[in-house]
Amino acid sequence: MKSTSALIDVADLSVRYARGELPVLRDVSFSMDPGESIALVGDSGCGKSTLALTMMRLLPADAMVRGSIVLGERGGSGPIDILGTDERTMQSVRGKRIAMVFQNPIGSLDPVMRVGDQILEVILAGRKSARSATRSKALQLLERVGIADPSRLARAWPHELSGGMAQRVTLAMALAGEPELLIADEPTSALDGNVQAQIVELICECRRDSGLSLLLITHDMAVADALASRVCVMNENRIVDDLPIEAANASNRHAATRRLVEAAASKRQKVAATMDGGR
Amino acid sequence: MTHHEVASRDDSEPVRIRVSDLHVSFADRSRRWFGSSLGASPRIQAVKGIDLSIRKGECLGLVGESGCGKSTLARAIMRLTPVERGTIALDGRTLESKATRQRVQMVFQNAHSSMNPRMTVEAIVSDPLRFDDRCEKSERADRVSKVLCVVGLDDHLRRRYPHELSGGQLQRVAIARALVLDPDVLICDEPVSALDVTAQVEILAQLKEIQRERSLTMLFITHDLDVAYSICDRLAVMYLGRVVETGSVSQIARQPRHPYTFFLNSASQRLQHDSPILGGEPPSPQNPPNGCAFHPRCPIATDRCRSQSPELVTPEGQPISQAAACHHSDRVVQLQKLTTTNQF
Ligand SMILES: Nc1ncnc2c1ncn2[C@@H]1O[C@H](COP(=O)(O)OP(=O)(O)OP(=O)(O)O)[C@@H](O)[C@H]1O
Ligand SMILES: Nc1ncnc2c1ncn2[C@@H]1O[C@H](COP(=O)(O)OP(=O)(O)OP(=O)(O)O)[C@@H](O)[C@H]1O
Ligand code: SF4
Ligand SMILES: [Mg+2]
Ligand SMILES: [Mg+2]
Repeated sequence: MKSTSALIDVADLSVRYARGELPVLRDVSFSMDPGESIALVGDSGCGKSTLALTMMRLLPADAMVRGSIVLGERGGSGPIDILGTDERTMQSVRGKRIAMVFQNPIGSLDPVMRVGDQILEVILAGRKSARSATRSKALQLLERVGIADPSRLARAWPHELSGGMAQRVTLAMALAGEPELLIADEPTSALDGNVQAQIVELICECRRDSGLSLLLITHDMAVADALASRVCVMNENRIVDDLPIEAANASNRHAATRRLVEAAASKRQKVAATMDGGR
Repeated sequence: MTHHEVASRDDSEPVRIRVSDLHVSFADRSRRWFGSSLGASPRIQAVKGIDLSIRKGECLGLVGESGCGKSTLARAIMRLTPVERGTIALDGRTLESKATRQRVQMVFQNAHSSMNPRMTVEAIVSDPLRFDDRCEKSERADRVSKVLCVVGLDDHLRRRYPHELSGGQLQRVAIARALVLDPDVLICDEPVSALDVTAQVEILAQLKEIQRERSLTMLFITHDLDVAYSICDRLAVMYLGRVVETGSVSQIARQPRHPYTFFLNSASQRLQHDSPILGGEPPSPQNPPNGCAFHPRCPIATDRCRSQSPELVTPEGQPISQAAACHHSDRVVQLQKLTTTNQF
């Protein structure tokens, strides 16, 4: 029997796309405690985004899904069976209980709606608050993700954003709903070191202040290190390793884990060598 | 001191791409967003006065903060964004006619929105071949296979549509499409940021090989200094629409002469060590600071910096290949000491 105190529990999940020959996820199981922070890492194409989309129930309708995903109870409402429940319940889950930063940020924004209005929509959904208070909250969120001129960006259309700005806007939108769980699919892949550090700091703050749980998909082991306490390694459609992040360096891990750790380390060494050469 | 343009020292090869005094700005057309009326808003100056040249077979890296104008510069070179002022030349001739433009290809930052969702991978990659008279119809499939192999995309994905691919797979398709015409100039906007480290290393090695084999000229945009250091010959560092420093990879990595470059270097190490990190707010392109645009965040700024905008020049005693736009470039070396003794 699974512990009922889990925030979310994924059990024996298998997914196959209609146009794919093979399953993209095979018997994936893991569970997250409230407030926990997990990094999901693995090679390109191993199924990370698919897992994230399944947890939001956003897969294409013809995808075949087996297994179960249970979102833990909260304040009076019982546990929710994500794969089985009706669409209305899911709409109350998305953005409010589980929010997601998509890997393709521009694609996840509505092209014909101003950035500010899109954030407002998330803040207002299901809540009653004064429009003016909401507006300043939206601007404040943009500022917190390191946007230089929030009022210009609020008025802008999505196509007017730079790549890194779009990524930060979608993070601001996800945080606007004050979710319990943030699923962030490569949330810093377009950001330079300084801005990345600022985003990492912001997410840490949310975790401290409101107990935000985080499922972080990333290929950047340094970001995983900074944000997560546990790491799940995926390889060929399965989770092959699930361990505290400090243990990822140990030598007795799965080959896929070792490869990821080594690749990251060798990249680090190369840069250090380029920079140190002349000092 | 000599006035400087971002140019290579290796004079043996001809200049392939030359950008002179390039300006790009956008109108802030949007009406007010409820309540926040700003009156007539000034234009957004995304690129202001960039001079750079890339020699045949060279890879110039373009780095800088998110929103500093890197993609805008690239899109202007591709003539996808109207140029306000300045010129762009390929082999000494204005880059205009369609014939010369085919020699320049680009990998876009957002692979998804640069692809027709109704075309399969195969169709997307072979589409540019329509413009190649030398390529017979019967050869097309062959060329597509070859280039898909170069970027490491599994053959069984050829019949997929863009939305049926993972982020990394789609990125490989974008690179394949740009390479299929065998261009002379390749502009890459964050080509590997969606890939895991192993795949990054693979693709970069492939690009490097193609570059050497065919003397491909590259403009390589990346936010990842590690990537820049591994593939580029020279770097240009941008800040708020301008080039603030340029030099060879080893010069930029070891002896930065602009404070912003110094912080860029230290930020790339930041999550591992406790390196000094750049504080302050990024500036707004609509309302840039007076004098040196970096002064509000610069730990060594003086009164002169607040009133006078520095030009991109070679610092005294430096090889001509390096240039910085900083009044106090000789003091940048002190930043390391200052920051390690926690003065900031
Ligand atoms: N709609 C779809 N139809 C068929 N196959 C798909 C579809 N979407 C994704 N796939 C395939 O499923 C596999 C897993 O894709 P997914 O996007 O989950 O990978 P990922 O781990 O997120 O990779 P990346 O790091 O490159 O983003 C890939 O091989 C991909 O080609
Ligand atoms: N079509 C547009 N209309 C209005 N403003 C625009 C437009 N395109 C870009 N901008 C603005 O120009 C500035 C530079 O954007 P650009 O996309 O060149 O940045 P970038 O350096 O590529 O950043 P990133 O690393 O985040 O991709 C940004 O402030 C952006 O909002
Ligand atoms: S000119 Fe002045 S403010 Fe600008 S980078 Fe140099 S020292 Fe700093
Ligand atoms: Mg993905
Ligand atoms: Mg860009």
